[in-house]
Amino acid sequence: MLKLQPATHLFLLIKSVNQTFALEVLPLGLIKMNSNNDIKALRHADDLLKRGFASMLQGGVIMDVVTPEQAAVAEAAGAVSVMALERVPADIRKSGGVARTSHPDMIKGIIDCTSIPVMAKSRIGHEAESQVLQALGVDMVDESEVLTPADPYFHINKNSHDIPFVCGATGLGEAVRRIYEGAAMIRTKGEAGTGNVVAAVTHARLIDQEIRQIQQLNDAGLDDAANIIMNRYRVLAESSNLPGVSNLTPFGEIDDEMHGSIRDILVEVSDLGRLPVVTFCAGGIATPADASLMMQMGVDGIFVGSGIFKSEDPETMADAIVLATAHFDDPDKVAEAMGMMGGDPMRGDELETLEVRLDQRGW
Amino acid sequence: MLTVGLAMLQGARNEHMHAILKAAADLNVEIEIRELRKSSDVAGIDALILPGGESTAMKIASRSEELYSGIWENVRNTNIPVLGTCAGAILLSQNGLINAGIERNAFGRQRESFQSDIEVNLEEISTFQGVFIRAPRFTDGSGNAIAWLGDEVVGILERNVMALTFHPELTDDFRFHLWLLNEALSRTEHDQ
Repeated sequence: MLKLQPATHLFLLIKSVNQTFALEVLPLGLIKMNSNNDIKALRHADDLLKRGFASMLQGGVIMDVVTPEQAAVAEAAGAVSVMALERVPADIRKSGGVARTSHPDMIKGIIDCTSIPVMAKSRIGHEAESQVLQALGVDMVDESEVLTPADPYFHINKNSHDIPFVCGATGLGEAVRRIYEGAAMIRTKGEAGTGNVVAAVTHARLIDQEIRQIQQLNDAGLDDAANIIMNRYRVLAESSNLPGVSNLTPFGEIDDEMHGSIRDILVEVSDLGRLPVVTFCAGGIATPADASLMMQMGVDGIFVGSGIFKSEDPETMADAIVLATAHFDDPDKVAEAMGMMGGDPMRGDELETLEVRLDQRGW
Repeated sequence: MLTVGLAMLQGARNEHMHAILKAAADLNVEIEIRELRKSSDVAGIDALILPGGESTAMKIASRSEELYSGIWENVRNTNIPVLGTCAGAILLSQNGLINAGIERNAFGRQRESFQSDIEVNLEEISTFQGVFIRAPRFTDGSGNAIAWLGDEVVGILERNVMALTFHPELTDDFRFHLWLLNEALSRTEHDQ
């Protein structure tokens, strides 16, 4: 039988949640914490919890939103999460200038109005922006090339944060470095804000082919591959022109230990035949068929940036992309989703016409 | 041969797939994992897994195919064993398959997600590694509790429907998946 009791210890457990919320929970009974149940005994913020959070997103669509109203549209359409930002990538492209993390009021406004997880973007290498996002209660940080990089050498040391990170990658080496740095989820970069899926396809294919190559390697080959991936840090450290630091990164020294950790990730990749973290695609998804295409290429889910709220009928587009992602391998359902589109998708750009290639940011 | 249905529209299905395959290998039973996306996929399954994820997204993704209405009808008619974790437990509660209320995200946001050892009262399981991710909490009801975090109920078993607010599939410990297969096996043996 379920027990009813005063849950005086519950508040200890959720002390970091605001008090109003905790008091709302208290009278419901059943929820009783044993007095031996010490909050310190609960283990927060390790890799299992970070990667576990990302696992819950499988098969879902994560939508860029710039207002609480858009977040409500995304949740009603069945998004698994929303990405809170001030401007969608298409508008960041148009306006130029330095793109930074969003205003806290804007992020809090979206957190307050949604029940699904909220993500937000931090600049590459900007530890302080990501700390702010964590303090605001964001569930996952996207260390994103869509914003202007803050550190020309190194990404954020994601292992030092309690909340999980997703990072972009154009190839396996980049993905493995981000995982080594603590990323709990990878997304293909694609070319954000273009409505053109070609870069997302390129990156997904490249990562897939490189995984097949890793699977062909013997022990010595894996040693070499780990060296090549690690050496990218050396090049960056050396290019910093600071004397005596060429062997040092925010993640530790470039040494046998780092080599071993990177090699361990490659062994995992080889055994699994895929990245060891949830892998989404992003950048240029503009129609339900684009979402189906990427799911058929084996990604775990879809980020849609400008594709929904830059289309003529965002509410229907949001519904349609969720439908096509869930039923990606059923052409009748994808056709139904394509037919739902009430207006034109966002206008697309040829990559050759772009002044700024976002996918070349990050390394 | 057992057919295990896995709701596929959204959620952490890969981890459940690995866990149930390990459990099947351990029991030396042959299983087929049936990926459930439409209500027409449901007929003939011997056991059902409802993974964690976002329950709002699952319900909406199911909308045009009515996967879940097909699932609930099947579970009520056949009494197959069911394992629902986190969002799966939410769906079981909201659709009256267990007699308990549930509140989503009741521990807080991702930074409040946690791990803790929990107590379990089930054959062959007495303690378990509880992984709670933006977890729900049972709020009321009279269900048959089988798992506790301290004195708080985190797992309910009614008839053969199991609702857990934590994630056994994220650990290497597949004993809850063994329970599911053993239940399915004893039912099919009983039928023969």
